[in-house]
Formats: sequence, structure tokens, C-alpha cells
Amino acid sequence: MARHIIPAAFRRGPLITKSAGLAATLAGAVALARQRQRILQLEASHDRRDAELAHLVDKRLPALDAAAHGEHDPGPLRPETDPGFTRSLTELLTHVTELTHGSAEHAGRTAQHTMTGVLDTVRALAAEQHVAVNTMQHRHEDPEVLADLYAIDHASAQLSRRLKAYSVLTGAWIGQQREATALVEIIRGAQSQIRHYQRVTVADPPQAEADELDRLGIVSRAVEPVVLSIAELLDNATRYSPPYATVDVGVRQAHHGVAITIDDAGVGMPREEQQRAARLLARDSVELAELGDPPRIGMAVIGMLTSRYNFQVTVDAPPAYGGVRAVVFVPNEMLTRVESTTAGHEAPADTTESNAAAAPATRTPSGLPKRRCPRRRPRGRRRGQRGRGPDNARCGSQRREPGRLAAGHDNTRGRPRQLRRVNAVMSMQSVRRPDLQWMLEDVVLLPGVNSAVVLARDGLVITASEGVTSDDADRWAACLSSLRGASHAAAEFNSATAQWQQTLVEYDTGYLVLISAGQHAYLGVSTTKNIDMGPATKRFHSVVTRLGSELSTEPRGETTP
Amino acid sequence: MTPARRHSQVRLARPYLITEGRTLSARHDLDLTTLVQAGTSAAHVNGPERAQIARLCGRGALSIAELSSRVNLPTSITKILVADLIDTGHLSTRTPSAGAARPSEQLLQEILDGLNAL
Repeated sequence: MARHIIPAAFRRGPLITKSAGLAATLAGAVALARQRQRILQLEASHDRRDAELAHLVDKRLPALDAAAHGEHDPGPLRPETDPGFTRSLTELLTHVTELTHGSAEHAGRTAQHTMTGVLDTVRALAAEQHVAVNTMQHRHEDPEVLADLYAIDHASAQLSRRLKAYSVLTGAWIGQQREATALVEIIRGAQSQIRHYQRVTVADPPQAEADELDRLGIVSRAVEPVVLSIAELLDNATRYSPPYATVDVGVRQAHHGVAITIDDAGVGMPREEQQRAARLLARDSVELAELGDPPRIGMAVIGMLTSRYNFQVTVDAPPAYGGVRAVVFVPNEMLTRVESTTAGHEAPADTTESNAAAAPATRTPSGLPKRRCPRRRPRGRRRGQRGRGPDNARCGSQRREPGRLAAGHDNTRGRPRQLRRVNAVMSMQSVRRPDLQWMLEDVVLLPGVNSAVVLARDGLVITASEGVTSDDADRWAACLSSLRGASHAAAEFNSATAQWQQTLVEYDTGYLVLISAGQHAYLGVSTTKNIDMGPATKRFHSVVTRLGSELSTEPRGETTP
Repeated sequence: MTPARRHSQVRLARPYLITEGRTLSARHDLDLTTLVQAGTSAAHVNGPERAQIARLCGRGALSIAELSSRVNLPTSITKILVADLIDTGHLSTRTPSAGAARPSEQLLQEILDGLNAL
């Protein structure tokens, strides 16, 4: 039918117009239908994108946040229908992830740096306090004073331990290095650092092993880490066992090393606790956020120490009394033979001999051996020669002590006293600025520092710490000056633009540190091995800053107290 | 060296631990110059620091002052430990020989003058 109608329509004029209009209407209807379909399609796609975005906000982003707890990105809802869009979303997500990680890392690093800095300062102060209390215990005999000192000493030992533990957590160096130390002393030391030290008993070794164990020590670098680990374990053991129960420490020698066992009669460790402990013990780093609130740091600290120093700690051995048995295993390469505790603090005989031979001044003119002032001979002799009476001829430590303590760190208060002392002690011709000596007090008060010298670029002494003789200061300044020169010259070995900052030289007995202090001036510090380099360097730099501002001004006129 | 730095290597085992918190020596007759020597007891000595002192004295008589410096402990603490060891029979004080009278004040003054003149 349609075949006849359309040719007929073509044949008749008005019909042609009519059918053209019809065709247009038809085409319009088709286009409209297409458009409508397109709109429907777009609406559907829009809805899908909406759903995809809602899914991103409700599911994928939260999953990103919870990624730390093991959750994964669930992915787009329908990746196949709109691949371009979903890919863009995933890219966006990756980008956000990177950004968050980056800023979290940055924040973590900044927090860690701040914390390390704070801890360094506090740790240096705690060490000073500990030394001061120790000295007081040597000086006072009154039982009541002594009892008070015990309390302070105990608190200060615990404080130091805590600070060391936090330092380890922030990734800093444990600090103070000790000489190789007998195992017995190490265990006693760890015991001293916990609150309930009275509850710890150290089992006597079998008689056959006693002598051998007595001479068994731990090498210098590992002493503090092992002490800290044992202390943390003892602290845990006493905290998680009833107050009437003892904590037993035993030492067993084995083929590959020595095992220190710590047994408590507590309630034992619940399974999840044991898993937490094992997890932390196996780690070599830990996020501060993982430690909980209040932070429980013991296991994390031990984990970091064992991985850094290569000894082992386990807490899952079968317990002896139903509590927990912790085992610290120190391998042979960390063990050494120390002089039996009997001779622990005596100087080896041959050293004394060679010293005596090298220093003829140890005999009086009449040939009698002269009693030497320990490690302070040059000064004692000098004072003696000046003949300023018995007070000065003394080995000369006790007398200065009150002034030293009173001066402390309060520089404004300490200053007049120091100046008086400068006038009395430092009649050095070559010293240009004896009035700056008090500034070095902050350096030499640090445990482990022997002496300090400030020198000018020309190698002449600007000032030296108390107790350094004029001759020594001159000689050291000259040596340090050439050391600076050499370091300066060697800079290009590092890079063409390298600027010298400081020089550190290590000897078997200690370190030399040389730092720039103000214009054309340098601070040289001599230390023993027993120094906590982190806080010490900070202290040196703070002194250098102060010295710098002092040295860039013109020397003041004669100051009188 | 000032005392602060002389003891800068602070001993790991602390006095409150070594003396179990006691501050008073059980004996009042001990002073810096008292000489102590090995006693009669051969029983096991309790505590590493006491054992250390007992062993040091096994080689001959030592004064309390000397012992203190050998074991790197304050004299007050050494006295407490020595008193314990005397009570357990591990140590005994050496009585000064009868002939050794106290030097006269004049002699002491002369020595002091001589030292001052050095």
C-alpha cells in the first residue's frame, strides 16, 4: 500500500508539499527520539558517575584512611562501563595517597627531630645531675643526708633510663659509651635503674663457673644497650608480678654466648600480649603512634636495640614459675674478658711503670717517690712551684667544688665568681680573653669532657677551660690550628664548594672536636670515650654561638669583680 | 680533675642497691685509716661488691680509704659493706701494734710546716 501512496503523492503537487512536511516531521521525530535516547544515556552515565563519586567518598577514601590497618582499596564500582572516568578517579586516589603519605612522613620526621633535640638537652642535664649526685655520695657520710641522696640517685637513675629509651625510639644514638664491663656489674646496673630493685635477686653461679663468669664482660659499645634491655625486662617483670614475689636473674654460659634469664612469678602474658611483644621485638623501627597511650615502650626499645647491636631477646621461653621467662642472649663476639671485678678499677701495673719512667718529676729532689695527683699533675706541680701555700699545693679538687656547684649553669650569677677565679688561676700571658673562660664551663661540665680551648685563626689561645696550664693551652692551640688548616685544605676533596664546619678526630682514649666559633675563632674540645656525642655536640654548638657573639665584639676593658 | 669529673664514669651499680638502702654502718669503730684483713670465715660471700672487697683483702691488709678507691665506691658505702663482712667473719680489723703510739702534736706540726715549705 505504501508503495502506491507515495508515488501518487509525488505526482500531485500539493501532495508533494504535504509529504515533504511529513518527511520533515518524521525526521524531527527521529532526531527527537535519538536525542531523548541520548539524554537518557547521559543521565544514566551521570548517575553512574554520581554513584562512582559517592562510592569514592563513602568507601574508597575511608579505605585509604584505614590502609594502616590492612584495608585495601575496593576499586571502582563498574570499571568496564566508563574506563576513562574510573581511571581518572583511581589516579586521583593514588595522588591523594602519595600526598597524605608524604605529609605524614614529613610530620613524623619533624616530630622525631624535635623530640630528639628535646631529649638530647634533657639527657645531658640528667647525666649532669646523676654525676652531681654521685659526687655528693662520695662527699657526705651523714646517714640522713645519704638516705636522701639514695632517693635522688634512684630517681635519677630511672630518669636516665627512661630518657635513653625514648632516645632509642626516636632513632637516636643510645648515648653514653662505657668501658668493657663485667656482666655482673651490668646486671647490677640494670637492677639499679628500675623502681622495685629490691625484688630482683641475682642467682649465684655454680662455684665451678663463678671465676669464669666473674671475668666475663661485654664489649664497650654494647654495654649500654644490654643494660637498657635488661633494665626494661626487669621493669616489666616487677610490674607484672605480685609485689611480694621476687624476680630471679640467672646467667648461663653456652657454646655461642651467654644467656641471661629473667623469671617472674606473675600472671604470665596473655596471647595477644605475647604476639605484640614478639612483633615489636622483631622490628628495627617503630612509629611513635604505635606505642599506645600511655605509651608502652619496653619491647619496642628492646627490639630496636637488638636489631642494631645484634643480640637476642625472647619472651616466649617456657616460664619457670608460671610467669614470664625473658632471655637475653649475648653472642660470643660481643663478649670479652674483663679484669675480674676484684681488679676492675685498678690501673694495669705496666701503665703506672711507664708513666713513672716517662715522668722524672715523680720523684722529689731527694729521690723519694712523689705522690702524684691523679690526672692533674701539671696543674698541681705548677701551683706547687708558685709556692702559694698548702691550699694550692693540694691535688686541688675538693676546694673548688662549692664554687663549681654554685656557679652551675646560671651564667649571670656564675660570672663574678668565675672572674674572681680567673684572676686567681689564669695568669696566662698568652691568653687574650681570660674573661671568656666562664663560657667554657658549660662545655667542661658535660660528663666526659676533659678540657676546652678557644683559639684564634693565627693559632694563639683566646681562652682555655679551667685547669689547663698556659703551656698546654699554647701547644694545643697550635696543634688545633694546623688541624683546622688541614681540614680546610682537604675540603675540595669533598666538593669544590665545600665549607669546613667541624673536625672530629677519634683516638683510642677519646675524641677531639674542633668547631668554628665566631669570626676567625675556633673551639677545640677534648673528650674521653665516655661521652654522649649527641647532646655534647649540641652543647658545643650553643656555646659556640654565644662565644661567636662575644668574640665579634671588641674586648671589654679590665673587669673587676 | 674535679671530683665531678673524676667520678664521671659513674658506676653502674648504685649505692642504694649495693647497701640495700642502708645508710649507717653497723660498726662505729671504722674510719678511713682502719686496716682490714681477711677473717676466718670461708663461707660464701653475699653480693658481688662484698665479694670484691673480701677478695681484695685476701691479698693483705688494706685501709678503708684504699678499699673505697679500689672498688670505686664512696667511703660511707665501703664502711657499711666492711662492717657486714666483719660481722659475718669474712674480714677482721687489724689492731695497731702496741709500739705504734700516736705521733706527738709537735711532730705533726713540723711535718705540716715542712709540707707548706715545699
